[in-house]
Amino acid sequence: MLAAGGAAILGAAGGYALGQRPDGTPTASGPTPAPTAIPSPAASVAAASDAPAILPYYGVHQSGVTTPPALFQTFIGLDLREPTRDDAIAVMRLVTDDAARLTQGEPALGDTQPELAASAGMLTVTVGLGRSLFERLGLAREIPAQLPVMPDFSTDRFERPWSETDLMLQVGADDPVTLSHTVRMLAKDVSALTRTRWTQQGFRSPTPATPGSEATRNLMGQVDGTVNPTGDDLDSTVWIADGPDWLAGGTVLVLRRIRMLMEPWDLLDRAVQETVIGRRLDSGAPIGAEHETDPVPFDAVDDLGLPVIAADAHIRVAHAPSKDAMILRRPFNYDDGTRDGGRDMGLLFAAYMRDPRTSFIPMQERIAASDAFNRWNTTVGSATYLIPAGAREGRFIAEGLLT
Amino acid sequence: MAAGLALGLGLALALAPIVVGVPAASGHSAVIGTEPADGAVLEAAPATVTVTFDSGLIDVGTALVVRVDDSLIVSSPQPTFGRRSLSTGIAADAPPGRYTAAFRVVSADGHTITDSFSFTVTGAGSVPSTSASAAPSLSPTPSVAPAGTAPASPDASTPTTDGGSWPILVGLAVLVAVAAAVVIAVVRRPQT
Ligand code: HEM
Repeated sequence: MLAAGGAAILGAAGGYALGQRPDGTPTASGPTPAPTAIPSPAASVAAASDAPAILPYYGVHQSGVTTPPALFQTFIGLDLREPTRDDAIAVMRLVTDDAARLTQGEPALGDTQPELAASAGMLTVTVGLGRSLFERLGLAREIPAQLPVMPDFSTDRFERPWSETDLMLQVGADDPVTLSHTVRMLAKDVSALTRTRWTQQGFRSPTPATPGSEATRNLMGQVDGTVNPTGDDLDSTVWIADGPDWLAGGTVLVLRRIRMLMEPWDLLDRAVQETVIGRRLDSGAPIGAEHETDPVPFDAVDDLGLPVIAADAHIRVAHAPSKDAMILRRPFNYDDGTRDGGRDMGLLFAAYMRDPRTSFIPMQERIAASDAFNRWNTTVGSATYLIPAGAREGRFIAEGLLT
Repeated sequence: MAAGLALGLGLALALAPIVVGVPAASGHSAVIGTEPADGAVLEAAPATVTVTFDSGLIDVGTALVVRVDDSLIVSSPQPTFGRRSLSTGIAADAPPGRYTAAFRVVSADGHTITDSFSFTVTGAGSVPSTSASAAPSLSPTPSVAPAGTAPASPDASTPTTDGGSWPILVGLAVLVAVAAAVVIAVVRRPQT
């Protein structure tokens, strides 16, 4: 690939940048903002609720991964109607072009509701490639080792239609109307070439779980998102370091639809709910500690000699044994009303990692084998995607793979 | 604690909390028996320690830890979970002393039951003379449980100590369980 423009790309590579007017308020439209100081995700979560930022589109990495999560996020699973490389190229070109405009608050070409493009706070569009895309295009040899066939886990109970598709579009935004518009524009522009198999819509609480917390509460009321990689660990956890230009700077998304079994969960008293996770519901602190971010006392025992964090507590079982084995969890809640007489709600568990073989897969294997939490959750869908490197201006996502 | 009383003092005391509607210290499911009994004095350490409950359990956060003189752990790392019981194997070379068995389990209706009971091992019996310091496979609190201790098997609940009174006590425990179930059924019916 071309080296030209490298400096500009590197400028934006660290993550995301807030576009600001001279008076300090975020730009809602106009030219791509120059990269400015990069705030920490925490700062930006707070900023998101006050004055949503415009996130740059072009860069070494696609946005929507280490950029702070927006309040709403939709995942769409698409299949190519005809598995030809020309069609794949056309889809990628269209999506890249639409995303580059819409994320900056500009209407897509031929946008029929251009007014809905204006409020683009925290808008991100992220593209993923499933194994079947490579296979159907005759590119099976190019499938990166980081995109393995996901093994079956003993707790999987998959339902149609949430399985892996050729392509995945992830769209996040703070304004749900903008989100809907963006999803529709993207789907419309590629509808001649693709078929949408599923759409999964998620949302997050705009309120920090406790004052000052970086985490928010999920639908079980738990403080969710406390232990996640930050700083240098974040980069090394998420980004693929080597490989062809379309791959290096990319990542892998594991998207699992996990239904929360709310009715039986509600029957547990709070102490049991806390034992199952290993953390307090009110403060999010580990049992046996005081504050949310305190280290987890995995080895502590109480007066009676009983382990403070149960052997089968979710945080003990899920805990990554080393930094290499970490994942970035970025879940969204879903609530689709009722199904089979029970609530149909839970987590769109979205996790990003540079290689699931050394992180997510062993973690999920441990969880399937012994996590107390399994009893109150059912994984009804799973799909894994390679998230290629970000686009450079004038190019499109995965261009090096498809051309 | 209710367990030892049940075996030691009989039905009336054991069932009192249920009959009069006072919540047992530990919630909706109650202990109806332990082996050995709370307060028992044994000549040798038991091969297993078992706690039996009056209703179903959920295997979540389950723990059963037996310590000698509040320090040495002599139970196996993983307790054996039964629908209404918890048990653990005891290290073969467990020394004499005051034994405390602490347990945590969740009742089927979603409440944590945490309790403990104690018994004494005199060392006068079948176990060759051991001293607390001469137990290589045992480790002091809070590290892991004894190495090489097989988890208790479901059929290992027969006490190792000889004693003609055991079958009677076991029979009594069964009686208590049945009686408790009946009483609960009777007490609950009008409320539902
Ligand atoms: C409905 C599904 C799930 C819910 C509601 C849930 C909830 C939670 C909560 C409340 C915590 C503690 C706070 C925190 O650190 O964020 C946590 C921690 C964690 N969860 Fe989950 N979780 C779910 C599924 C999963 C799955 C499928 C995985 C991975 C395969 C996972 C991996 C982790 C990890 C790695 C931690 C941090 C553990 C540590 O090192 O302390 N979780 N989860």
